[in-house]
Amino acid sequence: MSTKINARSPFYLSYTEPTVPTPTFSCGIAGATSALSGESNKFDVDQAGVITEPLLTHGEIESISSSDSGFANDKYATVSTPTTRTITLKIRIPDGFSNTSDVFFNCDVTAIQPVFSSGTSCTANTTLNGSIPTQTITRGGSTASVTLSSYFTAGSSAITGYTVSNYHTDFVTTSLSGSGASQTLTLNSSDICDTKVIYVTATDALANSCPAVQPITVTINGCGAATCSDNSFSGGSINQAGTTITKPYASFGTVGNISLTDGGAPITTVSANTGSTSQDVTLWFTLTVPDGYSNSGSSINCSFALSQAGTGLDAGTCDLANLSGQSISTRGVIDAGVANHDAFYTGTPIAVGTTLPNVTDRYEEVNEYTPRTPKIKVTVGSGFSNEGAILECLVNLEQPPISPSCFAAGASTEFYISQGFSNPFDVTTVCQNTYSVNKPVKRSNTIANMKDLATNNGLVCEGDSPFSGGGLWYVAASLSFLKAGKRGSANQLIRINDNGMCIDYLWFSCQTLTTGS
Amino acid sequence: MSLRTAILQLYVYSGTEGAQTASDLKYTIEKEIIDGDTKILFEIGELVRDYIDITFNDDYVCNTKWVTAITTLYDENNEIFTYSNPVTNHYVALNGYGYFEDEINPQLSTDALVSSTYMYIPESTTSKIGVWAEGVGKVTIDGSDTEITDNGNSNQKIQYVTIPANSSTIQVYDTHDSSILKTINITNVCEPKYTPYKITFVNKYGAYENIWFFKKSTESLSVTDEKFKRNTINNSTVTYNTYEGQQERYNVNGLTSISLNTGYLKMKV
Repeated sequence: MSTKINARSPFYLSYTEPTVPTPTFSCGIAGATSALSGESNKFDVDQAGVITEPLLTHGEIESISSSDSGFANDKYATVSTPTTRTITLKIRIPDGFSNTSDVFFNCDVTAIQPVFSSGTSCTANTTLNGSIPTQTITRGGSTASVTLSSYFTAGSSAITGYTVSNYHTDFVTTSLSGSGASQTLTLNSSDICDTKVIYVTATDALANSCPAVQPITVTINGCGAATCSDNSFSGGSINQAGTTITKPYASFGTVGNISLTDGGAPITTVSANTGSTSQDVTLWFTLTVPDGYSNSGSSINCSFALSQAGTGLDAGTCDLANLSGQSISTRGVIDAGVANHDAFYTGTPIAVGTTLPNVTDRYEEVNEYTPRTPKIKVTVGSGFSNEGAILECLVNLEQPPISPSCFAAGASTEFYISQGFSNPFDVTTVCQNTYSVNKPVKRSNTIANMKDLATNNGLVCEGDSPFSGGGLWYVAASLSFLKAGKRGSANQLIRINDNGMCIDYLWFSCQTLTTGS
Repeated sequence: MSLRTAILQLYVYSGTEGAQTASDLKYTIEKEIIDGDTKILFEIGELVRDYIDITFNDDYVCNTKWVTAITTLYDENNEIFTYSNPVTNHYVALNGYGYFEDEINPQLSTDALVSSTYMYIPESTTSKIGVWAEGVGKVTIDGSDTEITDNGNSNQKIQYVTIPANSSTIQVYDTHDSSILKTINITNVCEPKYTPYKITFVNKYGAYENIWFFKKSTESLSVTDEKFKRNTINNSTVTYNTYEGQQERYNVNGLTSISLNTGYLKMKV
């Protein structure tokens, strides 16, 4: 609903210091790039299947996962043909974003794992000498050391150093001491009891030596018996009807059964929230104690309150608004069109990308058809939780050049239109009368039918000039003697703007008093 | 960075929302924030009213205009804020008013643009009722529907629905055509003695509203003039005609007024 100025009374405009908009965390903001994107700090997989995590610009990688075959313990198996690999980064959203409360954001990154074929894809050099035994460290800053030279055998080119791939720096930190091949890897435990795998790769002076990678299983123990205080929950929710429970994230790992009481029977639903606002519902979640605790592998039940939405309604969205009829005139003025859902109202357009100074709602004129992606402000009406909110809905339009020219001789197809009918088209009122469809107009030969005319925003010409349609609906027919309405058979409608551009299409039926697209 | 200056560009125009051109720019106003305040305020009611044309020839033309306010904000260093700036807002202006009790920036009715729920119309006479196109889906008069659609143009934001002669009830529905927002009861007045007069005025909602005066009307004529005493002596004969008066009237103006009476009405009217 437009805001009214009743001009015989004072009307005040007020302006305050603008607030910095809070962005929404996304993969783009995170800066998680794939090897295939060609940018730096990218995700990569080497011949041995060792993963290089991308260096994020925002957020921290909580964990990585992959549904690809051959992925286990944060590493891929070697392959005999180049293989596309995709991992999902689970990124912890930092503060300052509109979706920080979601806790995590998943981004997929892709790389091609090259073939590993010793002597072919790489030069055999350093080899493995046995395997590194599991390193068990007491929690809280204890250390364990591994003499790396004991587990690698140098080839013709000496070992120059080692690279550590640790995807769980919150769990264990690593450091190298010494030089060249004679280095010691020191593992330093955190307070988290669990078992994770890290990888050590020996390096040498060759340009393309076959990677020699030793996995190290690290177990941190000494946590005693795990209790709920050792675990932290985050996220999770319940829908208003209580039929969908989204489990929270648990630092202990996978969340099992849900129950209403400690040790109670498993549930999948809860009672509906009949209140208008959200409420907290405390549920109990079964967790499996991870490695490192004296009761590892056993189950404990921990409680956590999830937010359940109220009867406040679903949020209105751009999709629900079902926008149509948007167009851009030759002068760059954006027609906001309509929202075909009764509860939504279109409003101000935002000319995204306009170069006009101090203007935000129209484009500069162009000399050729130019794709534009303006946003239409859509007000959410009653019946939605975000009633009164103003959405900015992106639409893809094409701006015609400033002087659309009608067709050359032989390049057009003639058809006929009726008088104009106001928008939105009122089939009930129109079908009370009968109308002639006999005004000759033209469309391009390349457009086969009326529906395509709207889809392609085709030009409608009357004589040598674009037909000024005024945004009205016209019954269109191929033959001049057809009628429309109560006693007519013509049933196709096109909507034409002031620049002769066809911006929408409908069919209608006076028998059933319906319309459709 | 704190707000220091706002430069308001005020456009008043007809057509569709946001379709203003450079020629529609009516005012550019610059204002600095007052020490101690957190907001910069502009009062634009009178500025906008200058551009609302009220011309009536029994044609009930909608006279609303779009108003677009584009305001550029500057910080204490006179630098333009690089985010959420400029601020653009659109309004629909009409020649209405609010009472003090209607609070600041009154929005008033968004459906039927009349205050009363009663109308008095002479028998066998049609009338009009204005409705706000954005808030009304249909108007039903004695079972006959008139659909209201808003195409966004300022020239139809107020739509006048014809009230057929001898109607009894007007029902104004919401945009879903399901809820009745206002019901107006019509009394068709038989006035056998006097000639009813129709007065059309711009009501507080900015819409034309008819009110009928059924009872005695009294016309009066008031005349004002000025007199001077003239010299009637003929210079050549040094005589004057005794049949020529000395007092001469000039600047004679007549003003006709009419006093009307409605007859008995319900208090709610």
